Amino acid sequence: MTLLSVRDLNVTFDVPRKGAMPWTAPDRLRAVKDMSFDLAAGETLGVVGESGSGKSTLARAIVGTIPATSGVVSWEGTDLTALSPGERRRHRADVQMVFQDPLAALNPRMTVGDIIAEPLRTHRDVSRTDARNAAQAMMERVGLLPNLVNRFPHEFSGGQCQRIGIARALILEPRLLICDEPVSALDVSVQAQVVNLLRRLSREMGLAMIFIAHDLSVVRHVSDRIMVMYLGRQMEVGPARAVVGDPLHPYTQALVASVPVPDPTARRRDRQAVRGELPSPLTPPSGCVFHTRCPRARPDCADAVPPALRPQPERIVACPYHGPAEATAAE
Amino acid sequence: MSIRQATKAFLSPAANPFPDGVTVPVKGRSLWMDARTRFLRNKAATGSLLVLVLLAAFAFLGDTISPWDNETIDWGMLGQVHVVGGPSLETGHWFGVDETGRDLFARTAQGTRISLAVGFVGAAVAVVIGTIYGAVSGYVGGRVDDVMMRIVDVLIAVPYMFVLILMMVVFERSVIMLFVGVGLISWLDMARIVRGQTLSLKNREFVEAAIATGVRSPMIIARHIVPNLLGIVVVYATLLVPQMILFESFVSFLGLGVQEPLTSLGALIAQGAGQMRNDVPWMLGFPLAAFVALLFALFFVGDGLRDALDPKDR
Repeated sequence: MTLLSVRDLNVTFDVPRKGAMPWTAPDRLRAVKDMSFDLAAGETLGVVGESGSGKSTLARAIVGTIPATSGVVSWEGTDLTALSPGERRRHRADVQMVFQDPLAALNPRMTVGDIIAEPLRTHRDVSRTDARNAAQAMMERVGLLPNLVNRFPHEFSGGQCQRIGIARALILEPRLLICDEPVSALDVSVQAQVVNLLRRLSREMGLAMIFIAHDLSVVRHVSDRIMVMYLGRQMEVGPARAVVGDPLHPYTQALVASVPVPDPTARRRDRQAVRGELPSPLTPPSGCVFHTRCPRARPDCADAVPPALRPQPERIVACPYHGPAEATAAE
Repeated sequence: MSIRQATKAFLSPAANPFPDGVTVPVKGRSLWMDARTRFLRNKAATGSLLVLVLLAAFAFLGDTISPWDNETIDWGMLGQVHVVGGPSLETGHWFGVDETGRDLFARTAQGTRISLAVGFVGAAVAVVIGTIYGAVSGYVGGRVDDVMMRIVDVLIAVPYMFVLILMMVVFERSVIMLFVGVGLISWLDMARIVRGQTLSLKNREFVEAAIATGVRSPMIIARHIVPNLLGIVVVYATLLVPQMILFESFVSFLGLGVQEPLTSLGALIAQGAGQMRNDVPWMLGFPLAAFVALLFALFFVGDGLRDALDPKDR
């Protein structure tokens, strides 16, 4: 059953030109371009890509804090982008979000109990005591002492703050949880705790998740499927095991090769890391946007946008010259 | 416990990792409580707060302990004020009398009361109107923001002293008119400051979280924007009080403020300054001392509050 279906989603930002007059047309920055994917109930989709590849913009367009320029985000058949702000607000109870910076996402002037209970008090007609009890129950569920309800966010560690953020996101029992790099601000041991907490809760509550990260190993751990993004475009989609174990797109291969090995004594492998930097999204390369850094680039890559190919069932690769990683290494 | 077991316990904490019986809610330390601790540690600010309390006590209770009121003329002094009108305990004129023989202690107390009232009314108007106006303008943004801020720009560009003098001439000169005049101008700067702060606050993640949750805009302003603005608002309001007192003093110095027999610190200072050559230094000295003490105390308290509420900004 499809819970969320995204079709040809585009998000464009207007960037005023330097020194331009107010009436000149601004530059258009296409942060997300022609994105399409489906998400089934209870499924976890991992989204990976470098910084600046449009992962967070995609998440915000789905949640609705950034308007989509064109395309369809449909939730069980209703197009969310076409709803009025009031109707949209009612739908927000179903989709909740966990943010990257755990402390910045919590209002420093509110107690933890009030922060966690806020969605409940917004969407449900509950009394203050009921909301408080629900907040305490939720705190217990995410592994926080419920007697800390009157504390303030700055009295907690990063990992604890992220648990508070998760509790706030889950108190309405949403059907989809969007995690925007929920662990990248935490240190490694706490990362594991938070990731495992998210996995356990999503299983218990039958949650679908969109899990954004730039760390492939974390994403593989939590995801059923993985989507790889580059410069706002979809590069590869497929089952998590297949995408990480047998990457087909040259960009995915580079990402997999750049995952650090946590063993200081191991010899550095001959890495296939991508060279250079992410091109400016204001002036994306022609044709395949990755061709400027691609180890397999051919002259015609700069001409046409590569079609989304389906070399295996349930896999999409946006590269006509895709192939197993060894082929790249041999070249 | 083996390392493997320990790691496992560490990585996947059980649903209830704490012992039973820990259920009493712990009282959290809010940022306001932290600020209070920092403020009380600041000796200049705490001392000034004490001075301020004493001055307020003087202003509001001075009349009741003085044997004279602020308008009764001591006929026995008239004509020889510069000889017998000085401060003395025997006559009951602790601060002396003014050139028409009225008790200066009672008049200074009453003048301080007016000055404090003008200062706090101005600050209160600024806090209420300026905060709401600035927060709405900044949060809503776009066209609304443009229009609201241009209105403020226009009002700031109007020479308010001129307008106030016109108002005093057209309508009756009264304390109420003075409050209205002060209220009209005091909120403008506050609205700008609050708008600027709101612009940076509304991009913070906790506001985005509230939007994503589906909280309505008025609720976001009331619950997330304004409480986080209050620090800067409080600081600016404390610094606004002396500004408003100075403003009132200037208006009274010109003879346009409160009307006799009421007086204000500015009017008293004006009168005292006019009598300087007659060898009556107390007429200028006491109102001036009260005025200076009041301003210094307010500035120090404002500084202390700023340091206490914004410890990163020192």
